[in-house]
Amino acid sequence: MDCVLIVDDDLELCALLRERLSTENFITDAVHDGPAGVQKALSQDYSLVVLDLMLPGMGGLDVLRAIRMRSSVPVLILTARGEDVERILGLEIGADDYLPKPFNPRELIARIRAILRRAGRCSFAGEPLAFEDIRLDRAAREVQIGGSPLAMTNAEFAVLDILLQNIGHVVTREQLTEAVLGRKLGPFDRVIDVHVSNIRKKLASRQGANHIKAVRGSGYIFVSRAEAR
Amino acid sequence: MKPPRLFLKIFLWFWTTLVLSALSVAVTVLVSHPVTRTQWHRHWIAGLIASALVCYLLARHLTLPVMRLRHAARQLAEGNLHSRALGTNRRDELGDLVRDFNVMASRIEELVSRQRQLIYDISHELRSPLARLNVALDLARERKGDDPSFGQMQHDFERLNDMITRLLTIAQLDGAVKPIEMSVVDLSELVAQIVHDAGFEARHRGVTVNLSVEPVCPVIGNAELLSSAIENVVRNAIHYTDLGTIVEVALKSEHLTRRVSLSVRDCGPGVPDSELTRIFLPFYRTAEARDRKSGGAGLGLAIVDRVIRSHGGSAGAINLVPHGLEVRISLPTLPPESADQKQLYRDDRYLIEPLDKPRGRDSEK
Repeated sequence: MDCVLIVDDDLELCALLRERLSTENFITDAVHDGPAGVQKALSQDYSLVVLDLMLPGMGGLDVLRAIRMRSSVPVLILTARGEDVERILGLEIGADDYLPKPFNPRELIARIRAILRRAGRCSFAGEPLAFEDIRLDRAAREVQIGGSPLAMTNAEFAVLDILLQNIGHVVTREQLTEAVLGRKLGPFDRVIDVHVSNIRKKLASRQGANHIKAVRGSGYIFVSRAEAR
Repeated sequence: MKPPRLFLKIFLWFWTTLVLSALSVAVTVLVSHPVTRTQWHRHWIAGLIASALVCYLLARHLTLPVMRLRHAARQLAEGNLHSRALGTNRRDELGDLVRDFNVMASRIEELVSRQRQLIYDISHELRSPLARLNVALDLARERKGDDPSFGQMQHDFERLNDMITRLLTIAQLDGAVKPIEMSVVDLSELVAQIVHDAGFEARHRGVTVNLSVEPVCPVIGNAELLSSAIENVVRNAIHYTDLGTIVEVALKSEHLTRRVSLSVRDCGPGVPDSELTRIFLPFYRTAEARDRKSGGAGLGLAIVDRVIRSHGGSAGAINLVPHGLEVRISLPTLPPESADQKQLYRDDRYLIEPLDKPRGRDSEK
């Protein structure tokens, strides 16, 4: 059974959510402030964290930053509708997906399942993918550039995995969203684009080359270093 | 620009008085001390210039604060609540007037912003109970099975949420909260998508939507907001047009004025002429819309108006002959020659640059 940690300052909402999630066979735990959230999330007892970005005191974004410094546990952020900037920031810091609040609990459950499914699948062993000096090891869930490891979140790892399997071919944003987030691409949905942008930044910080090109109105394509220039 | 009448009046008034009194003095002096003709001319011209200068300065001194007040008042009326009149360090009554005006402007600004903040806070606070209700409803469904009343509740929660979201959007656009993120938006694509998405409702009412889209210059804007604004107008038209009639959506570029115009025409009952501008106010619904129980809260067009204005454009409605309503939206476009600016605004975080490869493939065909 999967353990889910809920970090939200609304006590009543947490109680209701725990009740609802327990009917879906999740073990849940809830904390109501930032520092406790960070501490629990880093304890490795949980397979997923549901984090409300509107926390008093230590804000949700700071909690996420603190978690990401030491752990790649999947994080689903809850954002207020219309707060685009916060949402994008959250994804840039390393959240896997987001859900606007108020949400339909079924939607929340579907997203949690999708993220957990992907995290589980990635742990299945497989041939490591290698391209030029980039090496992606599914069994160890690790990316190496020229032999030294590069930290990636689950979602970024999954995106890079798919792009590396399709070198030189366009992968559409729809395909990426369905494969990585387990849902359909919505209108004005920028989640995949932020993940790709994060991977780009990480790769560029090591190599200085832009391997991932955008294809307007379609998707992304992974190109060789020679073409990247 | 109108001539500064008050300034001219004061100036001529003072000058005439000054010149006349100078003349009378001159005549008295001339009688006792006769001078030559050239000397007389020279004195006369010098006197005129000196007095004109003095009168100019005096008139300016008196009318400048009035002009500044007028400028600030007009800015205030246009909705720029930060506007204040200059010249507060004068010590006379005109200075007092300017200072009083500024106090009044600050007070108005404070009241309006407090009201906007209130709308924002209320909407924000309403969301927590709504989030809980959503989960509680789902739990009830899980336990008691599906019931039509649950469906109704769900529907109403969604409506409430929608209304709150719209109120928050309005508060945000009124500038109470945060600036809007802008990028380059292709309106042709956006409009085509909206019309396509509205197809289901149109078919349901037997309405045909005729779309004519010219390729237009891109605009700078927030795609999500622009989309929701245009969608509102298109859906309104489909909703209010008579059964089985035609809704025309046309997107054109106006090269001379560097704007794009979108017109949406329906064959519905239209709106009473006196209410044409009021339909853009929040919570405003025509009597007809209320009678029909259309379910809207009257926030749709208020959002349209604010979205379009925040993009430097304008939105308006006119009645058609014999009947129907046309909503016109006009937006400024990105000047095509300013490639630098385009680069600046391009959302390069998410890279939307075209790749060379697909173009190559086209030429191979």
